[in-house]
Amino acid sequence: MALPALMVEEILLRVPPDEPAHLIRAAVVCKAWRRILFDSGFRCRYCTFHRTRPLLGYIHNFGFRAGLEFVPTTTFFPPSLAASRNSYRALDCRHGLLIDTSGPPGFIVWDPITGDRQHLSFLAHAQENLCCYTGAVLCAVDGCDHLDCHGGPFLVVFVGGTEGAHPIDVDHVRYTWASVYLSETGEWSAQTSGTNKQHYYNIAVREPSLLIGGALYFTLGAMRILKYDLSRHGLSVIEIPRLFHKSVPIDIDGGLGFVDKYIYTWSQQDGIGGWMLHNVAELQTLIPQHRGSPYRDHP
Amino acid sequence: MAAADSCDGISTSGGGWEKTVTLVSSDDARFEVREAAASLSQTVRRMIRAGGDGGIPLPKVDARTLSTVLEYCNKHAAVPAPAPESSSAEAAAVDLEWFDKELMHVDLATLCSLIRAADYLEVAGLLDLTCKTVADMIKSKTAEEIRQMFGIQNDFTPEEEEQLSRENAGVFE
Repeated sequence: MALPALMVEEILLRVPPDEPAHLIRAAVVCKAWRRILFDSGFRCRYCTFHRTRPLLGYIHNFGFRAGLEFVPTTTFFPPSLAASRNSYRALDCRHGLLIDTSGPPGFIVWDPITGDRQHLSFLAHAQENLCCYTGAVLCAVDGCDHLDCHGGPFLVVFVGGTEGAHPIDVDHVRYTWASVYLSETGEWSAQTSGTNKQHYYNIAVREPSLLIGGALYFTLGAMRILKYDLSRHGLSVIEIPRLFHKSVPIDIDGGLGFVDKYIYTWSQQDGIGGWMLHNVAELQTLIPQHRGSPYRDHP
Repeated sequence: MAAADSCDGISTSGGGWEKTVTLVSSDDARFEVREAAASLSQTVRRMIRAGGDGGIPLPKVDARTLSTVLEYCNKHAAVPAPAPESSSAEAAAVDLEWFDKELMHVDLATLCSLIRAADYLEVAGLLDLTCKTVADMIKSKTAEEIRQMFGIQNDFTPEEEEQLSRENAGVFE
Protein backbone atom coordinates (compact mmCIF):
# COMPACT_ATOMS: atom_id res chain seq x y z
CA MET A 1 0.00 0.00 0.00
CA ALA A 2 3.10 2.21 0.13
CA LEU A 3 2.71 5.40 -1.86
CA PRO A 4 5.51 7.29 -3.62
CA ALA A 5 6.60 10.49 -1.86
CA LEU A 6 5.00 12.68 -4.51
CA MET A 7 1.59 11.14 -3.84
CA VAL A 8 2.03 11.36 -0.06
CA GLU A 9 2.69 15.06 -0.65
CA GLU A 10 -0.55 15.34 -2.64
CA ILE A 11 -2.44 13.79 0.29
CA LEU A 12 -0.76 15.91 2.98
CA LEU A 13 -1.42 19.00 0.89
CA ARG A 14 -5.14 18.37 1.33
CA VAL A 15 -5.14 17.89 5.10
CA PRO A 16 -7.42 20.74 6.23
CA PRO A 17 -5.58 23.67 7.87
CA ASP A 18 -8.20 24.32 10.55
CA GLU A 19 -6.41 22.18 13.13
CA PRO A 20 -2.57 22.45 13.14
CA ALA A 21 -2.25 19.28 15.25
CA HIS A 22 -3.25 17.20 12.21
CA LEU A 23 -0.08 18.06 10.31
CA ILE A 24 2.11 17.91 13.43
CA ARG A 25 0.94 14.33 14.00
CA ALA A 26 1.65 13.50 10.36
CA ALA A 27 5.17 14.92 10.80
CA VAL A 28 6.04 12.27 13.38
CA VAL A 29 4.83 9.30 11.33
CA CYS A 30 8.24 8.68 9.73
CA LYS A 31 11.26 10.59 8.46
CA ALA A 32 10.03 10.60 4.85
CA TRP A 33 6.74 12.28 5.81
CA ARG A 34 8.60 14.72 8.07
CA ARG A 35 10.93 15.70 5.19
CA ILE A 36 7.90 16.41 2.98
CA LEU A 37 6.15 18.55 5.60
CA PHE A 38 9.26 20.54 6.55
CA ASP A 39 10.21 21.32 2.97
CA SER A 40 9.81 25.03 2.22
CA GLY A 41 8.31 24.23 -1.18
CA PHE A 42 5.57 22.21 0.51
CA ARG A 43 4.82 25.08 2.88
CA CYS A 44 4.39 27.47 -0.05
CA ARG A 45 2.17 24.97 -1.91
CA TYR A 46 0.09 24.36 1.24
CA CYS A 47 -0.48 28.09 1.81
CA THR A 48 -1.38 28.65 -1.84
CA PHE A 49 -3.65 25.61 -1.96
CA HIS A 50 -5.71 26.59 1.09
CA ARG A 51 -5.53 30.37 0.59
CA THR A 52 -7.21 31.36 3.83
CA ARG A 53 -5.03 31.17 6.89
CA PRO A 54 -6.70 29.25 9.70
CA LEU A 55 -7.97 31.00 12.80
CA LEU A 56 -5.87 29.65 15.68
CA GLY A 57 -7.47 31.81 18.31
CA TYR A 58 -7.97 35.40 19.30
CA ILE A 59 -6.40 37.91 21.65
CA HIS A 60 -8.55 39.08 24.50
CA ASN A 61 -7.81 42.22 26.52
CA PHE A 62 -8.89 42.29 30.11
CA GLY A 63 -9.66 45.67 31.64
CA PHE A 64 -7.36 48.63 31.31
CA ARG A 65 -3.76 47.58 32.04
CA ALA A 66 -4.98 44.22 33.27
CA GLY A 67 -3.23 42.24 30.59
CA LEU A 68 -4.14 40.11 27.63
CA GLU A 69 -4.78 36.45 27.02
CA PHE A 70 -4.79 34.19 23.99
CA VAL A 71 -8.03 32.28 23.58
CA PRO A 72 -7.34 29.27 21.35
CA THR A 73 -9.93 28.00 18.89
CA THR A 74 -7.81 24.93 18.05
CA THR A 75 -5.58 22.73 20.22
CA PHE A 76 -2.61 24.97 19.34
CA PHE A 77 -1.33 27.38 21.95
CA PRO A 78 1.61 29.67 21.08
CA PRO A 79 4.31 29.02 23.70
CA SER A 80 5.33 32.68 23.61
CA LEU A 81 1.89 33.65 24.92
CA ALA A 82 2.03 31.27 27.88
CA ALA A 83 4.12 33.62 30.02
CA SER A 84 2.33 36.06 32.27
CA ARG A 85 2.13 39.49 30.67
CA ASN A 86 0.07 41.34 33.20
CA SER A 87 0.53 44.94 32.18
CA TYR A 88 0.30 44.49 28.42
CA ARG A 89 -2.63 45.43 26.26
CA ALA A 90 -3.06 44.29 22.66
CA LEU A 91 -3.71 47.17 20.26
CA ASP A 92 -3.88 45.36 16.96
CA CYS A 93 -3.17 42.02 15.31
CA ARG A 94 -2.67 41.47 11.60
CA HIS A 95 -0.67 39.40 9.09
CA GLY A 96 0.57 37.11 11.88
CA LEU A 97 1.87 39.97 14.00
CA LEU A 98 0.61 41.38 17.26
CA ILE A 99 1.29 44.88 18.58
CA ASP A 100 0.89 45.62 22.23
CA THR A 101 1.88 48.23 24.73
CA SER A 102 2.08 48.75 28.43
CA GLY A 103 1.84 52.51 27.82
CA PRO A 104 4.60 54.92 26.85
CA PRO A 105 7.49 54.67 26.22
CA GLY A 106 6.91 52.03 23.56
CA PHE A 107 5.28 49.23 21.62
CA ILE A 108 6.21 45.60 21.26
CA VAL A 109 5.63 43.99 17.87
CA TRP A 110 5.83 40.26 18.01
CA ASP A 111 5.13 37.10 16.14
CA PRO A 112 3.14 34.86 18.51
CA ILE A 113 4.03 31.75 16.51
CA THR A 114 7.82 32.13 16.56
CA GLY A 115 8.03 34.28 19.68
CA ASP A 116 10.20 36.87 17.85
CA ARG A 117 9.62 40.30 19.29
CA GLN A 118 10.83 43.79 18.60
CA HIS A 119 10.65 46.77 20.93
CA LEU A 120 9.81 50.13 19.36
CA SER A 121 10.29 53.33 21.30
CA PHE A 122 7.80 56.15 20.99
CA LEU A 123 9.05 59.28 19.33
CA ALA A 124 10.54 61.33 22.15
CA HIS A 125 8.64 64.52 21.33
CA ALA A 126 5.43 62.56 20.79
CA GLN A 127 5.26 61.66 24.43
CA GLU A 128 4.72 65.27 25.43
CA ASN A 129 1.06 66.00 26.10
CA LEU A 130 -0.01 62.72 24.51
CA CYS A 131 -3.51 62.06 25.77
CA CYS A 132 -4.57 59.05 23.71
CA TYR A 133 -2.95 56.79 21.14
CA THR A 134 -3.18 53.48 19.37
CA GLY A 135 -1.15 51.55 16.84
CA ALA A 136 -1.73 49.27 13.87
CA VAL A 137 0.69 46.69 12.50
CA LEU A 138 0.81 45.26 8.99
CA CYS A 139 3.09 43.51 6.53
CA ALA A 140 5.13 46.03 4.52
CA VAL A 141 5.62 43.98 1.37
CA ASP A 142 3.87 45.39 -1.70
CA GLY A 143 1.56 42.87 -3.37
CA CYS A 144 2.04 40.28 -0.60
CA ASP A 145 -0.79 37.75 -0.32
CA HIS A 146 -0.01 37.46 3.42
CA LEU A 147 -0.17 33.70 3.29
CA ASP A 148 3.39 33.22 4.49
CA CYS A 149 4.99 36.55 5.41
CA HIS A 150 6.43 35.47 8.75
CA GLY A 151 9.65 37.28 9.53
CA GLY A 152 9.23 39.79 6.69
CA PRO A 153 9.34 43.58 6.92
CA PHE A 154 6.42 45.24 8.67
CA LEU A 155 5.18 48.72 9.35
CA VAL A 156 3.47 50.25 12.35
CA VAL A 157 1.09 53.15 12.07
CA PHE A 158 0.97 55.20 15.25
CA VAL A 159 -2.04 57.44 15.76
CA GLY A 160 -2.00 59.85 18.66
CA GLY A 161 -4.05 62.68 20.09
CA THR A 162 -2.02 65.52 21.56
CA GLU A 163 -3.05 68.44 23.71
CA GLY A 164 -0.76 71.26 22.73
CA ALA A 165 -0.14 73.79 20.03
CA HIS A 166 -0.70 72.41 16.55
CA PRO A 167 2.57 72.58 14.55
CA ILE A 168 0.91 74.63 11.79
CA ASP A 169 -2.14 76.24 13.32
CA VAL A 170 -1.13 77.32 16.81
CA ASP A 171 -4.67 78.37 17.65
CA HIS A 172 -5.64 74.77 17.92
CA VAL A 173 -4.57 73.16 21.11
CA ARG A 174 -5.73 69.64 20.35
CA TYR A 175 -4.93 67.64 17.26
CA THR A 176 -4.65 64.08 16.00
CA TRP A 177 -1.60 62.93 14.10
CA ALA A 178 0.02 59.81 12.66
CA SER A 179 3.54 58.53 12.17
CA VAL A 180 4.73 55.36 10.44
CA TYR A 181 7.53 53.07 11.55
CA LEU A 182 9.24 50.92 8.93
CA SER A 183 11.06 47.86 10.25
CA GLU A 184 13.43 47.94 7.26
CA THR A 185 14.78 51.40 8.16
CA GLY A 186 14.07 51.25 11.89
CA GLU A 187 12.82 54.85 11.79
CA TRP A 188 9.59 56.74 12.37
CA SER A 189 8.33 59.05 9.65
CA ALA A 190 7.55 62.73 10.17
CA GLN A 191 4.17 63.40 11.75
CA THR A 192 1.13 63.69 9.55
CA SER A 193 -1.72 65.68 11.01
CA GLY A 194 -4.86 67.43 10.00
CA THR A 195 -4.90 71.21 10.16
CA ASN A 196 -8.59 71.29 10.97
CA LYS A 197 -9.46 71.18 14.64
CA GLN A 198 -12.24 68.80 13.69
CA HIS A 199 -9.46 66.26 13.49
CA TYR A 200 -9.26 65.87 17.22
CA TYR A 201 -11.44 63.24 18.81
CA ASN A 202 -10.83 60.60 21.40
CA ILE A 203 -9.20 57.57 19.85
CA ALA A 204 -10.77 54.31 20.92
CA VAL A 205 -7.62 52.66 22.20
CA ARG A 206 -9.14 49.29 22.90
CA GLU A 207 -10.52 48.67 19.45
CA PRO A 208 -8.41 47.25 16.65
CA SER A 209 -7.98 49.13 13.42
CA LEU A 210 -9.45 47.90 10.17
CA LEU A 211 -7.51 47.57 6.93
CA ILE A 212 -9.54 47.91 3.73
CA GLY A 213 -7.65 48.34 0.48
CA GLY A 214 -4.91 50.90 1.05
CA ALA A 215 -6.37 52.53 4.15
CA LEU A 216 -6.55 51.91 7.87
CA TYR A 217 -9.67 52.90 9.79
CA PHE A 218 -9.56 53.72 13.51
CA THR A 219 -12.57 54.15 15.75
CA LEU A 220 -12.97 57.63 17.19
CA GLY A 221 -15.46 58.95 19.67
CA ALA A 222 -18.46 61.05 18.59
CA MET A 223 -19.61 58.78 15.71
CA ARG A 224 -16.52 59.27 13.64
CA ILE A 225 -13.88 57.12 12.05
CA LEU A 226 -10.31 58.19 11.41
CA LYS A 227 -8.97 57.12 8.03
CA TYR A 228 -5.24 56.83 7.38
CA ASP A 229 -4.35 56.53 3.69
CA LEU A 230 -1.25 54.33 3.52
CA SER A 231 -0.03 55.56 0.14
CA ARG A 232 -0.72 59.29 0.56
CA HIS A 233 0.05 59.31 4.28
CA GLY A 234 -3.07 61.39 4.76
CA LEU A 235 -5.41 61.54 7.72
CA SER A 236 -9.09 62.27 7.32
CA VAL A 237 -12.18 61.94 9.46
CA ILE A 238 -15.27 60.12 8.25
CA GLU A 239 -18.54 61.08 9.81
CA ILE A 240 -21.02 58.25 9.84
CA PRO A 241 -24.80 58.46 9.66
CA ARG A 242 -26.28 59.34 13.04
CA LEU A 243 -28.38 56.20 13.12
CA PHE A 244 -25.95 54.32 15.23
CA HIS A 245 -24.95 54.10 18.82
CA LYS A 246 -21.45 53.04 17.95
CA SER A 247 -19.10 53.60 15.05
CA VAL A 248 -17.00 50.44 14.92
CA PRO A 249 -15.94 49.96 11.30
CA ILE A 250 -16.09 46.50 9.73
CA ASP A 251 -15.15 45.20 6.29
CA ILE A 252 -18.18 43.94 4.37
CA ASP A 253 -17.14 42.58 0.99
CA GLY A 254 -14.36 45.14 0.69
CA GLY A 255 -16.62 48.06 1.65
CA LEU A 256 -16.91 50.03 4.84
CA GLY A 257 -19.69 48.93 7.16
CA PHE A 258 -20.64 49.60 10.76
CA VAL A 259 -21.53 47.49 13.72
CA ASP A 260 -24.43 48.44 15.88
CA LYS A 261 -27.52 46.42 16.71
CA TYR A 262 -27.50 45.62 13.03
CA ILE A 263 -24.69 45.31 10.47
CA TYR A 264 -25.09 48.03 7.89
CA THR A 265 -23.28 48.17 4.60
CA TRP A 266 -22.69 51.64 3.35
CA SER A 267 -20.62 53.12 0.61
CA GLN A 268 -19.50 56.68 0.23
CA GLN A 269 -20.87 58.51 -2.76
CA ASP A 270 -18.14 60.03 -4.88
CA GLY A 271 -18.27 63.78 -5.15
CA ILE A 272 -21.30 64.08 -2.88
CA GLY A 273 -19.80 63.13 0.43
CA GLY A 274 -22.96 61.30 1.49
CA TRP A 275 -23.64 57.66 2.18
CA MET A 276 -25.72 55.05 0.45
CA LEU A 277 -27.24 52.17 2.43
CA HIS A 278 -26.86 48.80 0.69
CA ASN A 279 -27.72 46.10 3.12
CA VAL A 280 -28.78 45.42 6.68
CA ALA A 281 -28.28 42.16 8.55
CA GLU A 282 -29.51 41.44 12.03
CA LEU A 283 -26.69 40.92 14.47
CA GLN A 284 -28.66 39.18 17.18
CA THR A 285 -28.77 35.98 15.17
CA LEU A 286 -24.97 35.88 15.20
CA ILE A 287 -24.09 37.12 18.66
CA PRO A 288 -26.18 36.81 21.83
CA GLN A 289 -27.41 40.32 22.64
CA HIS A 290 -26.33 40.26 26.27
CA ARG A 291 -22.69 39.77 25.24
CA GLY A 292 -22.55 43.20 23.65
CA SER A 293 -20.28 44.29 20.83
CA PRO A 294 -17.74 41.75 19.61
CA TYR A 295 -15.19 44.54 19.72
CA ARG A 296 -15.79 45.55 23.27
CA ASP A 297 -13.26 44.39 25.83
CA HIS A 298 -14.10 42.49 28.90
CA PRO A 299 -15.58 44.92 31.44
CA MET B 1 -15.90 -3.83 -21.85
CA ALA B 2 -15.91 -3.96 -25.65
CA ALA B 3 -13.21 -4.68 -28.14
CA ALA B 4 -12.15 -2.15 -30.75
CA ASP B 5 -9.41 -2.32 -33.28
CA SER B 6 -8.33 1.25 -33.37
CA CYS B 7 -8.07 4.15 -31.01
CA ASP B 8 -10.47 6.32 -32.98
CA GLY B 9 -13.39 3.98 -33.70
CA ILE B 10 -16.87 5.33 -34.28
CA SER B 11 -19.96 4.08 -32.49
CA THR B 12 -23.48 5.14 -31.78
CA SER B 13 -24.43 6.60 -28.47
CA GLY B 14 -27.79 8.06 -27.53
CA GLY B 15 -28.92 8.11 -31.14
CA GLY B 16 -25.90 10.10 -32.31
CA TRP B 17 -22.43 9.34 -33.47
CA GLU B 18 -19.71 9.75 -30.98
CA LYS B 19 -16.01 9.17 -31.28
CA THR B 20 -14.62 6.46 -29.01
CA VAL B 21 -11.19 5.19 -28.13
CA THR B 22 -10.02 1.86 -26.77
CA LEU B 23 -7.91 1.72 -23.64
CA VAL B 24 -5.95 -1.41 -22.72
CA SER B 25 -5.18 -2.13 -19.05
CA SER B 26 -2.01 -3.75 -17.70
CA ASP B 27 -3.83 -7.10 -17.59
CA ASP B 28 -4.96 -6.73 -21.23
CA ALA B 29 -8.58 -5.84 -20.60
CA ARG B 30 -9.95 -3.53 -23.28
CA PHE B 31 -12.31 -0.65 -22.58
CA GLU B 32 -14.10 1.28 -25.29
CA VAL B 33 -14.69 4.79 -24.03
CA ARG B 34 -16.06 8.02 -25.45
CA GLU B 35 -13.13 10.17 -26.47
CA ALA B 36 -14.56 13.10 -24.51
CA ALA B 37 -14.46 11.00 -21.32
CA ALA B 38 -11.04 9.49 -21.99
CA SER B 39 -9.65 12.94 -22.68
CA LEU B 40 -10.15 13.92 -19.04
CA SER B 41 -6.87 12.00 -18.75
CA GLN B 42 -4.11 14.25 -20.04
CA THR B 43 -1.94 11.17 -20.59
CA VAL B 44 -4.58 9.56 -22.83
CA ARG B 45 -5.26 12.85 -24.61
CA ARG B 46 -1.59 13.09 -25.61
CA MET B 47 -1.62 9.46 -26.83
CA ILE B 48 -4.76 10.07 -28.90
CA ARG B 49 -3.03 13.00 -30.56
CA ALA B 50 0.05 10.86 -31.23
CA GLY B 51 -2.22 8.32 -33.00
CA GLY B 52 -1.77 4.53 -33.27
CA ASP B 53 -3.65 1.30 -33.82
CA GLY B 54 -4.85 -1.48 -31.58
CA GLY B 55 -5.92 0.61 -28.60
CA ILE B 56 -4.05 2.78 -26.13
CA PRO B 57 -1.89 0.72 -23.76
CA LEU B 58 -1.94 1.75 -20.09
CA PRO B 59 0.63 -0.62 -18.54
CA LYS B 60 0.51 0.96 -15.07
CA VAL B 61 -3.25 0.55 -14.48
CA ASP B 62 -5.03 -2.76 -13.92
CA ALA B 63 -8.54 -3.46 -15.20
CA ARG B 64 -10.28 -3.08 -11.85
CA THR B 65 -8.75 0.33 -11.19
CA LEU B 66 -9.18 1.50 -14.79
CA SER B 67 -12.84 0.56 -14.62
CA THR B 68 -13.34 2.92 -11.64
CA VAL B 69 -11.29 5.68 -13.27
CA LEU B 70 -13.46 5.44 -16.38
CA GLU B 71 -16.62 5.45 -14.29
CA TYR B 72 -15.42 8.80 -12.93
CA CYS B 73 -14.47 10.11 -16.39
CA ASN B 74 -17.76 9.04 -17.99
CA LYS B 75 -19.77 10.78 -15.30
CA HIS B 76 -17.74 13.98 -15.27
CA ALA B 77 -17.48 14.25 -19.06
CA ALA B 78 -21.21 13.71 -19.43
CA VAL B 79 -22.11 16.80 -17.48
CA PRO B 80 -23.37 19.50 -19.82
CA ALA B 81 -22.41 23.10 -19.20
CA PRO B 82 -25.61 24.89 -18.17
CA ALA B 83 -25.66 28.60 -17.49
CA PRO B 84 -23.83 29.27 -14.27
CA GLU B 85 -26.04 29.98 -11.23
CA SER B 86 -29.04 28.38 -12.95
CA SER B 87 -31.06 25.81 -11.03
CA SER B 88 -29.94 23.06 -13.43
CA ALA B 89 -26.30 23.94 -12.79
CA GLU B 90 -26.92 23.64 -9.08
CA ALA B 91 -28.70 20.31 -9.50
CA ALA B 92 -25.85 18.98 -11.69
CA ALA B 93 -23.29 20.04 -9.08
CA VAL B 94 -25.24 18.28 -6.32
CA ASP B 95 -25.54 15.16 -8.47
CA LEU B 96 -21.79 15.14 -9.17
CA GLU B 97 -20.99 15.65 -5.51
CA TRP B 98 -23.19 12.71 -4.58
CA PHE B 99 -21.60 10.58 -7.30
CA ASP B 100 -18.08 11.43 -6.11
CA LYS B 101 -18.99 10.59 -2.54
CA GLU B 102 -20.37 7.20 -3.54
CA LEU B 103 -17.32 6.46 -5.70
CA MET B 104 -15.05 7.03 -2.70
CA HIS B 105 -16.80 4.36 -0.61
CA VAL B 106 -13.91 1.94 -1.11
CA ASP B 107 -11.12 0.57 1.08
CA LEU B 108 -7.76 2.27 1.54
CA ALA B 109 -5.91 -0.13 -0.78
CA THR B 110 -8.32 0.72 -3.61
CA LEU B 111 -8.00 4.43 -2.84
CA CYS B 112 -4.20 4.19 -3.07
CA SER B 113 -4.49 2.36 -6.43
CA LEU B 114 -6.81 5.11 -7.64
CA ILE B 115 -4.37 7.81 -6.50
CA ARG B 116 -1.52 6.11 -8.39
CA ALA B 117 -3.73 5.72 -11.48
CA ALA B 118 -5.04 9.30 -11.33
CA ASP B 119 -1.47 10.55 -11.03
CA TYR B 120 -0.21 8.42 -13.93
CA LEU B 121 -3.21 9.19 -16.12
CA GLU B 122 -3.21 12.84 -15.04
CA VAL B 123 -6.90 13.05 -14.19
CA ALA B 124 -6.69 16.17 -12.02
CA GLY B 125 -10.22 16.01 -10.61
CA LEU B 126 -9.89 12.36 -9.56
CA LEU B 127 -6.43 12.96 -8.03
CA ASP B 128 -7.90 15.77 -5.97
CA LEU B 129 -10.92 13.72 -4.92
CA THR B 130 -8.94 10.64 -3.88
CA CYS B 131 -6.20 12.57 -2.07
CA LYS B 132 -8.80 14.66 -0.24
CA THR B 133 -10.59 11.47 0.83
CA VAL B 134 -7.37 9.98 2.26
CA ALA B 135 -6.43 13.34 3.87
CA ASP B 136 -9.80 13.35 5.65
CA MET B 137 -9.16 9.77 6.81
CA ILE B 138 -5.77 10.56 8.37
CA LYS B 139 -6.46 14.01 9.77
CA SER B 140 -7.77 12.91 13.16
CA LYS B 141 -5.54 9.84 13.55
CA THR B 142 -2.47 9.47 15.76
CA ALA B 143 0.94 8.90 14.19
CA GLU B 144 0.80 5.21 15.18
CA GLU B 145 -2.65 4.77 13.65
CA ILE B 146 -1.41 6.37 10.42
CA ARG B 147 1.60 4.01 10.37
CA GLN B 148 -0.71 1.02 10.75
CA MET B 149 -3.01 2.27 7.97
CA PHE B 150 -0.20 2.49 5.43
CA GLY B 151 2.12 -0.20 6.83
CA ILE B 152 4.83 2.41 7.50
CA GLN B 153 7.85 1.55 9.65
CA ASN B 154 8.61 4.04 12.44
CA ASP B 155 12.22 4.95 11.59
CA PHE B 156 12.77 7.47 14.40
CA THR B 157 15.17 6.39 17.15
CA PRO B 158 13.80 6.53 20.74
CA GLU B 159 16.01 9.62 21.31
CA GLU B 160 14.56 11.35 18.26
CA GLU B 161 11.02 10.50 19.37
CA GLU B 162 11.68 11.98 22.78
CA GLN B 163 13.06 15.14 21.16
CA LEU B 164 9.95 15.44 18.94
CA SER B 165 7.59 15.04 21.85
CA ARG B 166 9.55 17.67 23.81
CA GLU B 167 9.24 20.10 20.88
CA ASN B 168 5.49 19.62 20.72
CA ALA B 169 4.89 19.65 24.47
CA GLY B 170 3.18 22.81 25.63
CA VAL B 171 2.27 23.80 22.08
CA PHE B 172 -0.76 21.56 21.88
CA GLU B 173 -3.32 20.93 24.55
